[in-house]
Amino acid sequence: MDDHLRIRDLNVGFRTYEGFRQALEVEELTIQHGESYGLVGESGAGKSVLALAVLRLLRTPPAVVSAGELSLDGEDLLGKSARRMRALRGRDISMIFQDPMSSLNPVFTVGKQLTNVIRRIGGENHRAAIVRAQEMIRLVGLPDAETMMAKYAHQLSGGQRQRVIIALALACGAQFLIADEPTRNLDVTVQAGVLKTIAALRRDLGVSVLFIANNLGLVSAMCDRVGILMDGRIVETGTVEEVVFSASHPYTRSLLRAIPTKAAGHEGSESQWAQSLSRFTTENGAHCSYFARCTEGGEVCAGQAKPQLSLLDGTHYVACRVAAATR
Amino acid sequence: MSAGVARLRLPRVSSQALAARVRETRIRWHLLMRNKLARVCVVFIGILVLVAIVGPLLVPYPDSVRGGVDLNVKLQSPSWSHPLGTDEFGRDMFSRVVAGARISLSAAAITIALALLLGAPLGALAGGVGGIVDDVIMRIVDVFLSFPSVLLAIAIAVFLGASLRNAVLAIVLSWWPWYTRIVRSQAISLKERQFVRAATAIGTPKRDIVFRHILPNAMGPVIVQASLDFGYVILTLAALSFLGLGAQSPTPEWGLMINLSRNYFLTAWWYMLFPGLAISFTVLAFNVLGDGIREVLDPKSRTY
Amino acid sequence: MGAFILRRALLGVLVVFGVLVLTFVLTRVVPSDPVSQWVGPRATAAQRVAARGQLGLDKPIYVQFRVFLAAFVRGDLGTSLASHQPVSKELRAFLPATADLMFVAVAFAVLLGIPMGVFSARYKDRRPDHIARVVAVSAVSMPTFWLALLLQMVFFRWLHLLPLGGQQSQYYSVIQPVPKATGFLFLDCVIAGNWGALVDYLQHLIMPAIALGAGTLAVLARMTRSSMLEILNEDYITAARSYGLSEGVVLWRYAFKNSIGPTVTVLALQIGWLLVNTFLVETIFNWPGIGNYIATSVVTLNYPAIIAVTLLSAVAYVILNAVADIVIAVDPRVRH
Repeated sequence: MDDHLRIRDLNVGFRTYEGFRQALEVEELTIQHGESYGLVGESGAGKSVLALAVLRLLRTPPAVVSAGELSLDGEDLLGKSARRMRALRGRDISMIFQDPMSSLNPVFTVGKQLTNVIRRIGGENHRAAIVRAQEMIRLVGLPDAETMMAKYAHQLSGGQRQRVIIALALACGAQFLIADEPTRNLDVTVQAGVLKTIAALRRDLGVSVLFIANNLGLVSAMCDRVGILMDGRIVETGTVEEVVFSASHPYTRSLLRAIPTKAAGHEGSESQWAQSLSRFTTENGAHCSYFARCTEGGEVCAGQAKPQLSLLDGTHYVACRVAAATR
Repeated sequence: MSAGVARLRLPRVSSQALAARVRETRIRWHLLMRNKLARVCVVFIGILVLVAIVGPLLVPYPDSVRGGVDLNVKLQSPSWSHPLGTDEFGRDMFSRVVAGARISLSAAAITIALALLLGAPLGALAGGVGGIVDDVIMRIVDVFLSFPSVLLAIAIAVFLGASLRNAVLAIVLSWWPWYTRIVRSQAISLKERQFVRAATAIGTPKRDIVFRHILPNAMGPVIVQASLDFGYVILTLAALSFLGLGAQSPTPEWGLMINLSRNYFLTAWWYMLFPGLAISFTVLAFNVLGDGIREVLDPKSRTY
Repeated sequence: MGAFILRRALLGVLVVFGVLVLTFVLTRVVPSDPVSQWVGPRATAAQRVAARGQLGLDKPIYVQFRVFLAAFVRGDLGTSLASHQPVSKELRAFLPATADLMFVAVAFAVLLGIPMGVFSARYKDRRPDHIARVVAVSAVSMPTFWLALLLQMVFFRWLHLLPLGGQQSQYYSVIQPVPKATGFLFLDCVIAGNWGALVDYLQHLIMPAIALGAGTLAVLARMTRSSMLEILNEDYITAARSYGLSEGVVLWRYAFKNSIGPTVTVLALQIGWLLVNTFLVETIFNWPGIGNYIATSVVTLNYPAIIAVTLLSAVAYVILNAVADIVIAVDPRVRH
């Protein structure tokens, strides 16, 4: 009822020199108001493509996007004109990019970039925009807003940059935020601070978040629900408890084993770690793309079509023949 | 560590590496040929080369090529017997334009070959030896590159005296430093490669390392660059001829023909038009092909 | 930072010295006979010896070089073999016409070429991009002198729209000349308030400026396109779009401002190319500037004039490059 973002049958492919290549095939993804949804997968699984497709920021000559439904707050996004879509971005839906080093414009000061974004809605005069920009800087936990405004990207640390990027994303009051691996390129100590800031903002501003990461541990700490993206498809989704405590897809289980914990001990974990991180060859074939790596798949899977998402229990869905059979 | 020693190979390009290089070249050629424009240019340049080789033998008026005068037919507009008209001495423009292909293409090829011959070994020497040799060579290169290259070519051509041969020399003298630069940067990275280190380790003389091991392996990028420069060199040669510093009358050189046509162009439009079209299309073909090559070599621009 | 500037400046001085040596070698080692140019073909042996002394050619080579250096430092660029006037004085007389022409040509190239490149990148692989690329690659492939002749044929011979050549119509150059104030005809016309003469002058400027600027326009368009394409792939551009900034702001403020570096470098390099092309364009349009002077000098073998221009442009080049390097090193935003 209270769906904030709704995606059904979203397909994204790219035309390349080598021919057409399917990058994303999402059957269904729904995020409620105020909810935080974590999307986990290896690099190359299509996480960033999904984010850019939702914002309609993919260049459409190489990219080909189609969807049964793509709506924000019940408003269809796909049919929108470029102009209406632009009005929506930043104000209703916004995004934090993964690389703080390259996501800030190097030739403008922080203040200039913030006021540019704030004033684009119009109405706000320059003075008000500056006040609002400083407010945003304080909101994301940066000290000394006045001096921060005058700084260029290269004068900031990685953590400071990422906070500025968060401020930019939220400056126009977007209620839906896509966070694309926001802590990927940060030091571990800085990561914790940035994550805390995002969690606090979510609580205070009531923002819905699509949180993208390659680390299931991170997502389970930050999110209410989780989806596992593999080779452009969501293969398992449910609440954090469902997916983490009763992981059903062999791939999810390998991701869980990849989280280094004290309890996991030493046996075998290293090779599994390596296995889950290694990028597998993506065949655009019709079969389950995990089959080659799967330790559980057998005759049920061989030569069969790609498994569809099917309900396990509660809100827990999985796309795996073996898991569905053993339910 | 013993692994490092075990990996030492004979300082030669192994057949495997060679096969890999051939395969890479074939992939690139294949990608290039998927570009329709590049395909057209390759065909056009192929025809041009053919014309340059056999054209002068087949032209309808071989005498016009040599400069024979027939004032009875001077400055005639295009007709069946003279498809591109005639010039002020009654020479058939078609024959002369066709013959011009051989002059422009061969002069450009010689220019580039000589510039490579001069520039590439110096680059290998600078990059391969380093130190004071590098400093001296590169400062000389800096000095040459401080002149706008065509201006330097003009100045040299003035002092050498006006002839096609001297125009070629002048361009070579102003152009070689670019190739030195490219080969040098290539040589510097090659110096760190295993096979060069191995050669050094077994006591190969420095001269052999630079000229036998580094230079041949550093030629790839500079040869690509040289082929991209073809159009530019043809233009420069034409400009020198136009200024009277290149080919001399009655040589059927395109730039010279345009220079001579200046006195008649308000009445005899064909006289200036066709040599100019010949230059433009030739240079255009090389430039468009060059763009295609660059696109294939630079994966960043290879989006789809 | 200070050390870098000093090193870069020293390198510049070293290269200028090298330029002087190379030019000197060019004048002395290469077989040529300035003496017969100086005295003319019917001179006696005694006159020739005297001329050798006058030109300083009888002294040892290192003394000649010292004299050459000292003269250069004084700003003495030698004496024209044709007119026996100081070359520097002649160049100064021809400079304003060339400066006007080059200025207009550069303005034409920048004002048209850069937007062309930006739009080309914006509409990559679509119709506007195709058209712009065809125009650009054609313009770099055409010989400048041929383009000049084509323009004359079309706009003078066929359309009767523009004058064939020269700087002014006879009415303004002979019958009612504009009083000389600065030597720059454009400014002189404005100062005199003579709008008729100004329009007449501009009409004469159009074709040479287009012929001269076309190549630069194309180079700028190609350069701008490729650097814009690179910038448009950057994360901060996608980010700017995700904040809902308008396409105009993204394109011109965010992307263009970042892409301008390589374009400016190319433009600086183009100045040398433009100078050479004035040789070709000015002769064709009979434009009374340095290019025309040099083209005449090339035919009459007036070596000092050619050497002076070659030397001056090389020195200007070195200084320009050094300044550009230093500016880039000093400005943190350019360095990123």
